[in-house]
This record gives sequence, structure tokens and C-alpha cells, in this order.
Amino acid sequence: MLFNSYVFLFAFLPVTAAGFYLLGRTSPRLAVIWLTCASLVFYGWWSWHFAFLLLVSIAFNYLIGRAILAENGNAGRANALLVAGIGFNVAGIVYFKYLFPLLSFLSQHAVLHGQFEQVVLPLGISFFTFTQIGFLVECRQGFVEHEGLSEYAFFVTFFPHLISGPILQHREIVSQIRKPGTFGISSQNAAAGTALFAIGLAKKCLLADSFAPVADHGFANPAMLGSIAAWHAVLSYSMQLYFDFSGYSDMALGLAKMFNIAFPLNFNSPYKAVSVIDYWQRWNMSLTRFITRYIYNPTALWISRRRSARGLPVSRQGLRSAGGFLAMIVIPTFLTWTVAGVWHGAGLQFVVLGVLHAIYVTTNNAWRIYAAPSWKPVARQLPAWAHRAVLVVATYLAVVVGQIFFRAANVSDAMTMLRAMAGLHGMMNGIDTASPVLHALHSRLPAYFAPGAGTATPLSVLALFLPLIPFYAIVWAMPNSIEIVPGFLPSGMNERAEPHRFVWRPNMSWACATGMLIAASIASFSQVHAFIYFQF
Amino acid sequence: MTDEEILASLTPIFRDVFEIDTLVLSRDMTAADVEGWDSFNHINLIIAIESRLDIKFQVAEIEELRNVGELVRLIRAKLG
Repeated sequence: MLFNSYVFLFAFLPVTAAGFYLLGRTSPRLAVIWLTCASLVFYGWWSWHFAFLLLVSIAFNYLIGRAILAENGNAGRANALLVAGIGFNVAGIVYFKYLFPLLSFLSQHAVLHGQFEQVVLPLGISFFTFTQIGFLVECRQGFVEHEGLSEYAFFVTFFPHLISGPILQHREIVSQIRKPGTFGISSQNAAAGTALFAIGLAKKCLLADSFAPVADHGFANPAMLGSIAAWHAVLSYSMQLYFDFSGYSDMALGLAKMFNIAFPLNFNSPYKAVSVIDYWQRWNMSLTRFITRYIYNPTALWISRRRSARGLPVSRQGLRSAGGFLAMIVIPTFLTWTVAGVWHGAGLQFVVLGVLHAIYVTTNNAWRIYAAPSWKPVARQLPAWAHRAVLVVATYLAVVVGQIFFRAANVSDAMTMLRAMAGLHGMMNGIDTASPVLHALHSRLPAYFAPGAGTATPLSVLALFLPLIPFYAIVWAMPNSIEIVPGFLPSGMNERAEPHRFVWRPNMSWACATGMLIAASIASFSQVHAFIYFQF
Repeated sequence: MTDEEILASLTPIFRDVFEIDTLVLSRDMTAADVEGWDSFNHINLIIAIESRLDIKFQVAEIEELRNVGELVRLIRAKLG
């Protein structure tokens, strides 16, 4: 089921919420079970086969988790169970997501022979697999005391996060459903949650989806684009992706809030980032938390301890040496980001995405360690806003290159798009079909917006990029939705509760604004686009 | 070791890892207060502390540290 659909807004959500509030008065446990069942309906709406698969996955992980808790006194046995549990989860996601693309790839390159049938990818498998792996690690680490099946099933299936995250930690959710206060109706939470949900819905339906046709058209035919049209398609896509995922994260957090559950932050104005490392603290924050805690940290710690044992330096001095930098930064970074890239999809372009970001983060770290000390006095000569602007734009462009690999059909198309952007396919091709707005202007005012392929007036180019400007104002200068509707869990390390002037309040003006946003969004439902992170 | 002594021994480590010579630590200091202290640099800090103070952290222990005070408490428990 999609959040942006009639059945969700008018049937599923009201019924589920009503059931939760009514049952919560008498029995919190029944309310939890109600939500779990509703979430299974939400998931199974798409395919009941995969709802069954989800239940199998839940049962399996629950049993392994219980076994780990029982054996936690014996490190060897507990670790073996943990590894087995993680292994089975990974095997599942490899089978559904990676195996057949890999076999097809090998078959195309004549390493293997045979036809390989595509397997249908269960919705949200990347998310609920990671979520459950996190649970198993938490069991081993001692963060789980005792666990009932109904609590665990709720934790995994709760519909706001089931399909596209945030990737939750067991302890942050279970502590909330064990508090009786979670089970009454809180008008404050319901109102704030609805407001945030409305903002997210509008971002998705009105903003992200309006860029989709432009981006789709451009990425479908990258070879037909000159540099102007290519930049236009790529920048439009960067806006589509931003508002799509931002909107989704808002909706997930807002929905959970309606049920008095606080989710961790997942999206914090990522295009305002001043470095790629900063970007990852702002984009898909729950994923960054997961890969940092469960891949990067353990690897870096293990490597540094081995170095220490051999008498090699591990502090700043160690990082400065080439061997130390390689061992303590490069290896954990490449491991972590290759996994993160590949997690996003099966295909060589996702490997490239991962490796690209690994290079970015490594360069960022190298800069911090080797260049920053001499650069800081130079930077202080520039006015602060100029310095910041340079960093923001540089980071944004680096991220956009990664997004091209994320969106393109394959590596070859991505390279074609990059070549087009660099001007290697000419400048003017494809402008006339680049955007519906421009097309309309072409037909109505041909004198100003030159018709035909391969030519364009300055006005045409302006007409292409002008509509993007308000969106840059939004992503670079405006407060984000979490600053407007606060009250969520921290997801990373350096979130500050910054009070903002433009904060949501439960009053008439906000109620009207919320209502209008929802109405406008619903009006767009006739042309529904699924979320980008949907089939993940 | 007392908390003050631990705080005093952490100060040069922090200054070295984050390259801020004038950094003064306080117990309620969080990552948001120190430039460059993010979730990736956090492990460098932990590694430096392990090496200088000769203690070992569990990955789980460092996950939930909210401020310097909690770090001090954790170190105090480890030093016995």
C-alpha cells in the first residue's frame, strides 16, 4: 500500500488509528497486536505471498534472538548463533535481490550459461533485513532483556517504517511500547503527526512527482542530451530524489507520532552539508547509524587493536602515516561504503555508487588530516558565508555525481550522462523536449523560445532553470520539516535541538495549512508515482 | 582515578584528535559542541583513548554515549 493513495488515507489510516486508540484504553498488548495485524495488511496489500515471507523472517529472527539471549553467557556459542543468524538474513536478501542479476551478469559475459528467471523482490526487504540484523546484534550486546513475540513482531512490521525505513533500533522502540502513556490518544501528538505527515505528503505529491517526468525523460535517453539538457535533467532528478525521500521520511515520522511513537530522525537538510561526511550525517541518517555502528566502528576498532598489538601508532600520528591511514581509514571506509552502495540495488552502478562515496569520504578524511591545518588560516581570509557556499556547492556536486549512478539504468548510461554534462555531446541538443513547461512556451511564443531541435535562445535556457531556483532556496535556505515540527529521537551524534521561529503550533492557521496541503496532495493522486526507495 | 583526573587526561587526547589546541572539556559537552566530532571521527577518538589510557571499549558501550560526562563515567568504571 502506498501512503499517497486513497485507500491508505481514507480507509487504512483512520481504521487503524481508531482501533489503536480504542484498544489502547483497555489493553496495550491488544493495541500492539492490532497494529501488527494492520501492518501486515498494509504490507500484504501488495502481495500476500510476501507477507507470509515476512512472517517467516520474523519468526526465524525471533527464535535466533531468543537463543542468543539464552547463550549470552557463553561467548563462543552466542557469537556462532549471531553469525548464523546474520548469515541467514544476508542469504535471504542475496537470493531475492542479488543472485539473479549476478547470474544474468555472469551469463552475459559468458562465464555461465543459461537463462535466469528474475525473482520478484519483496517490498522493503533491504530495510527489514537490516532492522532484524540490528536486533540480533543488540541481543548479543546485551541491549535486549526479555522479548515477547508480539513486541518483536510489532517492532519489525510497524507500517510507518516497514517499507522504506527509518532503520529502527530495537531498544528505542520497545522502551516506548512498554510505557503505558503510549496507549492513550494524545491530541498534541496526533495533531503534530498529522501536520508532519501533510508536509511530507505534499513534498512527495506536489514537489518530487513534478520533477519525475523531466528526470525520467532525460535519463531514458542520455545520448540525446546536450550539456544544458543534461544538467537540467540531473539537477531536476536531484530535487526529485531529495523531496521524495524527505517527504517519505516526514510521513514515516509523522505517522508514528500519531501513534505516540517517536522515530529517530532520518533526514536533516542534506544539501546544506559542508562536506561529504556531513552529508552522510544528514541523508538516510538511520542507515548511516546502522553502517557506522555495525560495520565501520567494529572494523576500525579491530584494525587499530591489531596495530597496537604490533606496536604501530594508532593516534593522530598513526593516521598521518600512509600505512596507518590505509589501515585505519581506507579499509573500514571502503568496506562500509561498498556495502552501503550495493545495499541500494543490484547492479554495477550501485557498486560504483558505493566506491565513489568511499573515495569521497576517504578524501574528506585525508583533507582533515593532511590539508586542513594549512587551509584553515587561508579559509579565515574569506567571509564565512563565501567559505560555506563553496563547501556546500562542492559537496552538492559530488553528491549529484553519485546520484547519476543511482538513477541511470546502468553504468554506461551514467557515463553517457556525465559526458553529456561535460559538453562532449554538444550544448543544445534535447532542450526542446527537456521540460513540459518549455515545450508549452515553445509552441505559444516561438519568437522568444526558438523551436526545433538543436537551437535555443537564452530565454529558453532561462525558462529551463528558473523553475529550479525556488527549490534551491528551499533546500539551502529554509528550515526543514523537523525544525518546524520537532519532537523526535536523535539518530546521530551531533543533533542539537535548535528552536526555530517558524515552529508548528496546534492553532487555526496551521490547521488550515495542513488541510490545504492534504487536499492539494489528494488532488494529485490520479497520477500516483511510487516512492523511489519503494522497491528496496 | 577521580572524574577530574580523567577529564584532565582526556583533554590532550581530544585536542589531538580534533586538532583544537584551545579545547576545554566539560562534562555536559556533546558532539554538537566540538567541530569535527561526528559519528566517523568518534571511533578515532575512542581508539586514541584506548591507546593512551590502556583500556578497551566494547562497541556497544560507545554507541550510547551522549556527552563527555558519560564517557568519563564509562572510563572510571573501566579503570576500576
